[in-house]
Amino acid sequence: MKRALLLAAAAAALVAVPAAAKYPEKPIRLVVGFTPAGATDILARVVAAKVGEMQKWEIVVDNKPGAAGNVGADIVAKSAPDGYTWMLTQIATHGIVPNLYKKLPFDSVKDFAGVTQLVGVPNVISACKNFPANSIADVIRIAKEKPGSVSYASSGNGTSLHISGHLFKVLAGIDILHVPYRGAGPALNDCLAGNVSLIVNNFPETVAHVEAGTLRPLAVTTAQRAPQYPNVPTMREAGVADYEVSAWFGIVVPAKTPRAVIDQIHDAVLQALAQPDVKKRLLDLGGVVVGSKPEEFEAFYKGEIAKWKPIVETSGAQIE
Amino acid sequence: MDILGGLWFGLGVALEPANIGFCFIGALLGTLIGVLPGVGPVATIALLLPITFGLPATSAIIMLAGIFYGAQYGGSTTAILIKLPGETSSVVTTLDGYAMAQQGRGGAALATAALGSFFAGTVATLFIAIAGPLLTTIALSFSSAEYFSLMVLGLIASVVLAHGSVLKAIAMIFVGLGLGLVGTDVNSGELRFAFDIQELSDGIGFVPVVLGLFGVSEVIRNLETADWRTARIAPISRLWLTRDDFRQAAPAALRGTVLGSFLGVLPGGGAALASFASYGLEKKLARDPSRFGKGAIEGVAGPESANNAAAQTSFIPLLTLGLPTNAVMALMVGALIIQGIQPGPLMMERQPDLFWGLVASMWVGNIMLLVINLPLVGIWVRLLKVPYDLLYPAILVFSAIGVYSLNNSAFDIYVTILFGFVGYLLLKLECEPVPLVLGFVLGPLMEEHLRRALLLSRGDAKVFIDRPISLGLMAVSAVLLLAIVLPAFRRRRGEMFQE
Repeated sequence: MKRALLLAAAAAALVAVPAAAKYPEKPIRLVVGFTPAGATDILARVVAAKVGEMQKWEIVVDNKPGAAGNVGADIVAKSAPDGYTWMLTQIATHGIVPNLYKKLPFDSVKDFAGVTQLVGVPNVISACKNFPANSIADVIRIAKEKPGSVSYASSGNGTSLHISGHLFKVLAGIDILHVPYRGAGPALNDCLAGNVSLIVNNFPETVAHVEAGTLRPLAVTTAQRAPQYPNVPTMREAGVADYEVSAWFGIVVPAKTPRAVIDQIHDAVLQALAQPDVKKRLLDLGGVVVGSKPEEFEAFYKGEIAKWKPIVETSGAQIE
Repeated sequence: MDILGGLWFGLGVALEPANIGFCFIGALLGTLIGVLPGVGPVATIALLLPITFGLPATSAIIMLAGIFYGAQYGGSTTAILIKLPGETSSVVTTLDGYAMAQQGRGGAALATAALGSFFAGTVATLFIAIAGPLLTTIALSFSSAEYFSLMVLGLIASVVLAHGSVLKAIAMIFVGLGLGLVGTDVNSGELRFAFDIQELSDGIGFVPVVLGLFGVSEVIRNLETADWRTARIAPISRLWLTRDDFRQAAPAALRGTVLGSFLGVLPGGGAALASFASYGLEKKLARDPSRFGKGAIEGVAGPESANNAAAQTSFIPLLTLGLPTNAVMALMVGALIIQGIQPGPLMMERQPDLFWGLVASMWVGNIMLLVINLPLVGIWVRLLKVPYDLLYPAILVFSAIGVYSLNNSAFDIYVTILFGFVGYLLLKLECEPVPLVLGFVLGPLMEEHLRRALLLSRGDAKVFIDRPISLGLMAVSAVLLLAIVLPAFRRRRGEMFQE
């Protein structure tokens, strides 16, 4: 571990000297396409604070919310590729949304360059109050006995939560009804009141309710179990073959940012991710640290965009 | 822990020197940003969030909460003095508060707002301590069907808000409903009336619309008059309330507090809805409703108490269940998660210092706000003596900064300018903008809940009368509608018979 750190630091030093001895010579802007205090924003602030502290860089988190993250992405796509604009992106912006909108003012692939994937986070499918299911198998049985009787709440159309529910519907071949809400709060409200059968939720918002017994987690959407819930199966283990949704987060910069600068950012971020306090923070949020290489990350999100294309097309969430 | 023990324990936490300090900072900041048009608690809390990283959780939440309810105090100041509502919930305060200020009773209006808010804050704090968990179960029993029925009731009651032509009021409600349709449809995800403008895909912002309709249009209107350089308001007579004022304001404040305490618990626009509802109620109860809009003190006392009570009780779902009911509460959830606290049903048990400390700090904060605000009344009123050629540019500049700070978006400033002209046009046409605002706020919520209720009932419209709370609300709406329509109908029949 320590050696890896030293190596990373040495690599950073090597890259930094010839390429851009002076980078950064002014504050860096980390664009977040969502409102403050959401998952994307919290992650951005954790990373920005640590990288800033370790490298003595000044990193400003800039919230540009709107249009499912597109407002922020548009700004980054059109920013100068000088390493002073980063974006904290995620599965929506560089996975689902490119398939969702028929027309976007930027190109989700061509206008960006990957730096690294930060984390992968499971979504959780839980049973709401009074819904008589203790497992995913129960849900499938009930949905087959009474088609259309099972509903699931999500925080909105085209979110990774909606897609998680829809993928369940498609792969299990069952008829379940999507009930979209304006954000996770109202969705949870109706779930706790027992107005819907299931809820697909982000990890951090689920934890406290599972502890209190107000939500019964049936499965996590990732390929591995969540360390916090060793007893909750993955969707694959629960019998839905080929199922995997990871709500991932990563950092991208405008395309044509010099490779040396990208490497420098990559190394700085990876050093921050290796810190135990950052790791613990991310684990609390349900995140498993990834820290992939720039080209790995680019290949990953290109794959994500391709993966979600047919799913989004059958979900009816597309926007003309 | 029982309630008294809890409050006692909470006071101990709230009165720790550090926490008193943070409570004061929060209350003061809240007052200041409340006074600045457009700069709301959401933007401020978002800005301060990173600073709270390093604070103990309880201190952080006490400060952030102070900003929120402090803004309810401050928001009324500009609404009363220069017809610029600083907060959503002070829109209706412009109606009678501004009228009072123009009659030279600005001091009395400000004092009423501060005292009413204090009273409401104190009662609501007790309310949270005593009935918090119980109220949460009531809020949970509100499903989409109930919300829809509540919104119907709100819209029908809003016709009462108009003090002019009922026909124009209804027309304005529909304009508001139409504006509310802009943006992404929650149910289908489809864009409506966005014309490929990305900034419109989340709908038209509320604050830009309100600042334009009320503030900017008022500036334009004042500029058109020939004597705009000379103060057109009556000299300030008294800063304090007369005994008559007290007699009229006190019951209104009490009713506003009760109304606000209940509506605040419900998700989505509790504080705004509470102030509108309280104004409507006062006007309906008044012996002489024609005084409203011309400086009726009840029209300030009721809504100002209601919005402060609602601001405080909107913490209940967050504290008892971890459910955020508005944008500020969503930020609080974020602040708690950053602190490593998962907001949820166990918070009261696991973090008693946080729960009781926050509740007790609200009361401490309200005392501080009263102490901050009452002496300021004298200073604020002097704001009216600022020459208009200084005041108007200042209003416009601060509005622009405030609007920009909401989403860091210049587009919102253009919307404000546009609605400034729309507001001026409406003034010329003698159309009240308040029903428009209500339609704009309630319209999207109403549609969302109507469609979700039908989605959940698989298209069965009986859901609105099958559920008892919904049925009750629908019945009240029907009675109210008859009460509005029947007199007009009878009058017309009377006229017919006379011919």
